[in-house]
Amino acid sequence: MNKPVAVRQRVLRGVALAGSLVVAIALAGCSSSSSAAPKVPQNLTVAFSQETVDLNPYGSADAQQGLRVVDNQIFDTLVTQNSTTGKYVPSLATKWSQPDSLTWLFTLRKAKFQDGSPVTAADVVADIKFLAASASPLSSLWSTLASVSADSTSVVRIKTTAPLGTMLANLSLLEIAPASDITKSDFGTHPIGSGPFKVDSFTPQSKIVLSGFKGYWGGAPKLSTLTFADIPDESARLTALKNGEIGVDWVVSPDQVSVVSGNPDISLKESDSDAYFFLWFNASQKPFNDLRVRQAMWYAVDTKAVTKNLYGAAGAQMTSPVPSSVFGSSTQTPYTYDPSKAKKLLAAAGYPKGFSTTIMLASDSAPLIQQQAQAYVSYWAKVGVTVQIQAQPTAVWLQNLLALNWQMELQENFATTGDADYTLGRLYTSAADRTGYKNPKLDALLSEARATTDQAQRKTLYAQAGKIIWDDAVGMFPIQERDTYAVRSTVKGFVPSVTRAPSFLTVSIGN
Amino acid sequence: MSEQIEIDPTGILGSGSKSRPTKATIRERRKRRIWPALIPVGVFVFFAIFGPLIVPFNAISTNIVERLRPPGSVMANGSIAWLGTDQVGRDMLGEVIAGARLTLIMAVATIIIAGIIGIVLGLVAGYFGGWIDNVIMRLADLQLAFPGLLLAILIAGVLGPSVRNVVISLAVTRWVTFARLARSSALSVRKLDYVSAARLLGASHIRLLGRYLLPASISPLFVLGTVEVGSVVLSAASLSFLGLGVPPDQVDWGSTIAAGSDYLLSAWWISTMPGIALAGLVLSVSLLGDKLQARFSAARSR
Repeated sequence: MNKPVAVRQRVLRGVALAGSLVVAIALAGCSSSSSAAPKVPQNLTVAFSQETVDLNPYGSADAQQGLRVVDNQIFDTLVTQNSTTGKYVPSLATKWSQPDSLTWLFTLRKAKFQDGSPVTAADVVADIKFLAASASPLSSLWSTLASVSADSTSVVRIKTTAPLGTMLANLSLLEIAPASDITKSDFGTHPIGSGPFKVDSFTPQSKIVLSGFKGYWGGAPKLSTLTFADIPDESARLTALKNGEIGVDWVVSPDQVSVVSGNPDISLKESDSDAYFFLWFNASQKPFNDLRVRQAMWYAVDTKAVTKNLYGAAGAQMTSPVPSSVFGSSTQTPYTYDPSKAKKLLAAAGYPKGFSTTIMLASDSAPLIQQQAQAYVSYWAKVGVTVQIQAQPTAVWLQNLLALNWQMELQENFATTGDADYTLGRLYTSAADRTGYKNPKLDALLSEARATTDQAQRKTLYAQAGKIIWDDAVGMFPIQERDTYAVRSTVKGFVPSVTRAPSFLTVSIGN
Repeated sequence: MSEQIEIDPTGILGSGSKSRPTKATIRERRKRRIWPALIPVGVFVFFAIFGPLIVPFNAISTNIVERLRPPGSVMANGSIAWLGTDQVGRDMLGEVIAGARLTLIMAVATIIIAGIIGIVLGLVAGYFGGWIDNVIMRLADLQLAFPGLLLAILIAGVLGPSVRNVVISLAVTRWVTFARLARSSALSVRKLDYVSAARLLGASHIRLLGRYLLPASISPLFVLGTVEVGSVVLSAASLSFLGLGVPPDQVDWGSTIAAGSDYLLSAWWISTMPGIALAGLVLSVSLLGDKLQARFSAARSR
């Protein structure tokens, strides 16, 4: 009686032991094979050449590149632009249609904000209304907004007073945030979006720490943390890159490329860019309210030499108020380098001995901006115009810029949407009053171009608008840029972006 | 008749040929020789005053075709850039010399203004004593409670970059040392017999201060001024380095070093050349100050 039971028990025990041994070996085998390659911590620190003063996409810094670079990780827009084809593809909106020329319908996908609440049409409605009413640099894009409403929790209806050819371009810049948060006063330091990274902390002039948002609709990012370090001094950035303290540095100024080229751990990537420089004249006060003075200042400067000697291959002389790659760009008659003509124009305008003025710029905000300004000052001194350079910190510069508290100002600018409306249509209207220059004919051309959906017609209109801006020397348009990014070899999957705001969704740290 | 007339009470004439100088005396004398320290300072002053006439320099005029050329390069017009060119093509030799002039102007102006304020306040405090002395010295203590350079940065930041504002902010932070020295000198001199005699004869306070106390304290104050020059030059360069010194249309050593800091690994000469000049000047001025101090205290002790 005992023997068969004992045998069965022993067999069962043996099987159990063998089975557990097999399982144990299998488990050990699995864990040893995965621990043979230690996981590299997925923490990336990057540094961008422009300072981020604010993260609020509806505030006074909303057109600033420093803001856009970080906000692109935190927020989503309804559509995004494919930089190679120029076409607009779905992002938070899955499809859209136009029932009539004044109405647009957008269907939202199921997505969550970083605080867990769902993205609804009510949020989009509140965001559009808020931006249009905000009087911030981007709000003028929405000047023809008639109404926006939620047809359902996932359908948004936007109505305009006139056909808006740039609806998709405008929406590619509208960061979607929860309706309840956008009115909070600390929204700029604790923004919440639906993008792949959420904000852990924002220390202005120090760093911005983002962490991966696992619930992102496009898939969780590979990085667990992404830190934007604020290092305005370029050589400090490059040193940090060489030490491995940061993984990506952009934009590398043409003078500094030699510092990292040839370094085996760093690769340099070049990219087309929608970045360019302009120099505005404040046409609301003397002496720049006189066309002859503005033109004289342009004739006095040899922009070709400045482009070639300061930027080399990283810059090209502009022939239009928007870079040549932008839709709506058209070649204008160049201002040749002619100091004697400049002197004649100044004398005709009543300044035979020249005059004194100032030029404002934000320090360390763009590659070689200070040297460019010094080169111009030198040329102007030769025709009798004494110019003092006022280099200011970015936040102060931005305040003065928007308050028209300057006589001339030099800055980098971005044709972010690849469409001339974003720069010409936004910055040069009388309503926007960004330069003090007011021209009703120009206003009419720009609003017509924005309202037309016939792209060929728009191109012609922008050519005419560009000619007015160029010939009237509203500003000087010297240089358009080509960017260099420096990336450490351990950073995988990084792709430069034409807008200088690359995505980090698919970036990871390898060995 | 048998009075001993002291021919040389201060011993300036030296011991004469009465006895062979000992090795110790020779060493002492060598330590007090000031011309090794005076020569570099003299060279600096010469270049600061006459340099821009010999090597003309225009801070505004850029020559971007020739930018970032290394020292010894030949320019397109045939001239040689002995110290190279900077980031907008200006000749470094001219830039360093122009910087010397501006540095000299700022240092001398600062020392004079700080010196005048300090001497006046110090002599008044030492001479009158009492509550005047208290007030002035507490003011000095208040001043010293702030770290000197930080206070200068604060003032320059509020006033904005210009040569005048650099002088103001540096002078405001530096009068205290002069005041203290003047005060201690006044304290010791006012007790002397000839001062009391003058007072009895009816000399006014102003006369006593100006004609009696001031000349007695000039020597140590002069030495202090020399020593302070080095420190003032460094502070002025620091302010310019931070962008709070000279405006962008003028150059001095601090602003040149700051502009070259982006190029330390590529165009190292932009920061290094003014840096060497700055270090050399501060060292030789300090050395000169030391020598003068040794000379003066040796003369006093004899």
